[in-house]
Amino acid sequence: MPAVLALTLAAPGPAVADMSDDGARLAAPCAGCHGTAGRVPEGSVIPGLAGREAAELSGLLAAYRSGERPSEEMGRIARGYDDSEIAALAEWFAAQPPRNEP
Amino acid sequence: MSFTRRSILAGGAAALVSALPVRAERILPATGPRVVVLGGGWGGLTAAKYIRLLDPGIEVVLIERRAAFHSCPISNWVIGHLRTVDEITHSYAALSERHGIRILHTEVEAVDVDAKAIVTADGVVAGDRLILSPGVTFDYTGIDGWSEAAARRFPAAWSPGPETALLRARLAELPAGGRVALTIPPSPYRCPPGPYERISLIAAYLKQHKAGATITVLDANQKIVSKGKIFQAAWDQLYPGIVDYRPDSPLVQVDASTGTVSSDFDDVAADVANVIPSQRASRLLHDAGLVPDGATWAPVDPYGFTSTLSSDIHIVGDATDQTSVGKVPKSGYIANSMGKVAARAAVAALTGNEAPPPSLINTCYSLVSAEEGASVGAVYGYDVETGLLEVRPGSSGVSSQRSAIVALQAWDWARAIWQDMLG
Repeated sequence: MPAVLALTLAAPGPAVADMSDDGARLAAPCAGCHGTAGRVPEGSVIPGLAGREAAELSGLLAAYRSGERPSEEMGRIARGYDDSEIAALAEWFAAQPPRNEP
Repeated sequence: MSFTRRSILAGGAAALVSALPVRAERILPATGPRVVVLGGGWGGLTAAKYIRLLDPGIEVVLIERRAAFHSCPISNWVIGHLRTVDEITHSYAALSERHGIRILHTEVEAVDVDAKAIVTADGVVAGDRLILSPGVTFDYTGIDGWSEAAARRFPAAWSPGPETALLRARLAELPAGGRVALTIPPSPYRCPPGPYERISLIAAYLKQHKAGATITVLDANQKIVSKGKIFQAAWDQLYPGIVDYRPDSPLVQVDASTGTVSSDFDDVAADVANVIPSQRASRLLHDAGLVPDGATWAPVDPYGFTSTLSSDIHIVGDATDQTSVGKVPKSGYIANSMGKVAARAAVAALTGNEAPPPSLINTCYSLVSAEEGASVGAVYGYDVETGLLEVRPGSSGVSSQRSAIVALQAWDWARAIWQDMLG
């Protein structure tokens, strides 16, 4: 194994966040299930979030939080966020391109 | 921090340093602001990648012993013959090719706290900040009869790799009517529901392929540590007469010649035995003075996961002390969440910005059979009063019953989070 493998400085992927963006900060851990920046692997039963309408996403989170929409995981997760945080999450995911740029 | 330097010069690391051909010279000189990340597991990979996503102007060097990534989550599925070793083994290549991370595959000998450097078999790599994600060290002290022969007879398979494949193969060789034994260490240990998922998937394999075979469990804990009702119901309903679960039964003795594991009450002679040992923070952290004398885990300030003993050094993942972090489990998902918080804190420190407050999620999926699973999870925020991560009210919960959809989600979760770390 050579000592240093990665001298190629390829162009990094698109920045997922800047420090002052509350949506990015809150959304980062959602990637565990919903993929980086809300882009899930092909064929996943877990829905992607990138590029969907903010109103749709905030409506879904509110419905999960109230229990109006039943779920295995999302009810408890949605209860972790207040109204302003749900709005920030929805707007951030809505602004993400739905696919990785080539 | 004089005790740190002393521990490097005179402690356990020093013996290893002198015994191995370590070259003391600096390698990989930095060309700008740099973070050195130790450990290509869940916490380290996430931190490395997210630093580059947050600020491509910061150089990241990732130091990892293994040539490829082996996933601990899903490794129980491999042991239970539901997935293959290849399916939990992934390349690190995209991190260098796509994200410009410099990856150094080498043995790590020590952490030099004062120099903010990692001492490796290839030389010393220094940075402006360190992010350490070295995981756990197994601790077999206190088990009578433990030996090299015992280590071969009773593999842990609690870090994915050759032992995962070994345990899988031994189950395949088990005779009909054979006996499996599994021992669980006292909590906290890596992956709270992991032992119980493993019991379930071994039981499922025995039920399908090994008529009359059983699995006997000696659990050091007083009850099932995670998802207790779900696992107990699955064992009672799906595997009656197969799972013999004995709580409050710490492992005290082994006999490699007879394959026997013993608690104070029982001797269990088994054809195949899996000893999951007690765990503590990686010995690298102990040797570096980043774990206080007499302590087991590394204390951190969870606002940015900086060590409470050195503010330029972040520690993430299973090695962190839950009493300093808050009530988060030692899970892969939490290590991934911690890596993102540490990345943000490191970037903020290097660019003169204030780090935003941390926000973390955990979700742990477990199978109870090939077809059904259950999940547990929570959202965590930072409490300025306690200085700890606290569960957001109402956000903590566990599945009410096992279900097929969670089993599907579990695999797609793994695919998503592997890509989040490695893609």
